[in-house]
Amino acid sequence: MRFDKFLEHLHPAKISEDRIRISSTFCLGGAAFFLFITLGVTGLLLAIYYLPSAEGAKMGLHDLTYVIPFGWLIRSLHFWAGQLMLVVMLLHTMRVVAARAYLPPRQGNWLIGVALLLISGGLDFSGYVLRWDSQTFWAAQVMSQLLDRVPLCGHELQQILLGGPQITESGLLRFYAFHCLWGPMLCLSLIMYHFWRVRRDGNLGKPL
Amino acid sequence: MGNVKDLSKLVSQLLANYMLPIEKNKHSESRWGRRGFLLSMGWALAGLAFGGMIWMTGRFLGGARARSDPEPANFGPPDAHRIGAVAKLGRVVLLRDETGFWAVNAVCPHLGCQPAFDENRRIFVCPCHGSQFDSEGRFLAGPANSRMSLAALRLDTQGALVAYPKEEAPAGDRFNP
Repeated sequence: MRFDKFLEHLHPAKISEDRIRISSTFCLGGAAFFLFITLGVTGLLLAIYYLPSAEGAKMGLHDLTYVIPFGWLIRSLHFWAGQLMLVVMLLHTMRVVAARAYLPPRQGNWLIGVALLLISGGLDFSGYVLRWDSQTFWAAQVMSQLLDRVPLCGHELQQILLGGPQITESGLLRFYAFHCLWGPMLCLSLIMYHFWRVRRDGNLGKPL
Repeated sequence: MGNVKDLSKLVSQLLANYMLPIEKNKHSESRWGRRGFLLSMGWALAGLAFGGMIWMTGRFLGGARARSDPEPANFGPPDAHRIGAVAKLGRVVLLRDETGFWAVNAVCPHLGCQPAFDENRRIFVCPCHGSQFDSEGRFLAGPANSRMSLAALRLDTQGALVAYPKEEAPAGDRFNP
């Protein structure tokens, strides 16, 4: 496959003139995807030095920030790309609402987008907990108490997400597994489907 | 390019004009014409940035050698340390009073910075967020919320005093050679 042919296929063959204007989408979905890729690459690098245990998290973060060459840079990139991705996704959601692009025939893709937003929020929180210092430990504690208050299935939810009523190292391992495996894999598959649906539903939502 | 109305058109034009092989580009006069020159400089800059990125990633991945694994700290003959003296090797701080020796693993339980020993006040103060610990590593003031551990002390075969940061000594423990 030639590179220039790939570029030609990146955009749909036919698209109405007012929809390709930058002010039609502000490229917010693309920006969020770019940040997702950034998070993936920096996350793969960070995973080399991080161990999901109390001692491992402390030493890993210390070494990443102060000892390993450019560790501070990779960690900062990962953090800021994560924060920025949530902001960009929220703006994307607002843009879609303003363009009424949640109406049929795009209602399915709207739901996929909402799911992506929720999972990204979970990824942001679980990444914060991975620092495993006194601040994030208590944040996890608060979340654990909140879960417990959920009617009917709160206790079970707490059991499933944290592995028990107390936040322990096995809870940290669950956060780690979600942050590094379940969340990103789920996100990536939904993103692929999301992109495909943009094409299949045809055109983009009409701006107001 | 005067009538380009929007950015995506501009981008696709740029792609068509510059990213395709140069012999296909009917707008450029020669390799060292204005466009050709800018194009070469652009690619050189991109190459430089990419190379720098690869270099930084390589340094990052090779970082395990620089890892601060706590090695045993050899403080030499015990007699070299008078009562009240403080000695520091890596992250281990050796102290001595009338009752004997002890070694503190000076790693703040808050975020892992290295608290420094203030000889006037006889306390450890963390440079990062100001946590304080007494001379035996006991917690005095936050944001940390637990004590610093003590390293086990032993004499090696040459009679030198060696602290082992990976082996924790019980709190309040004294070593008398």
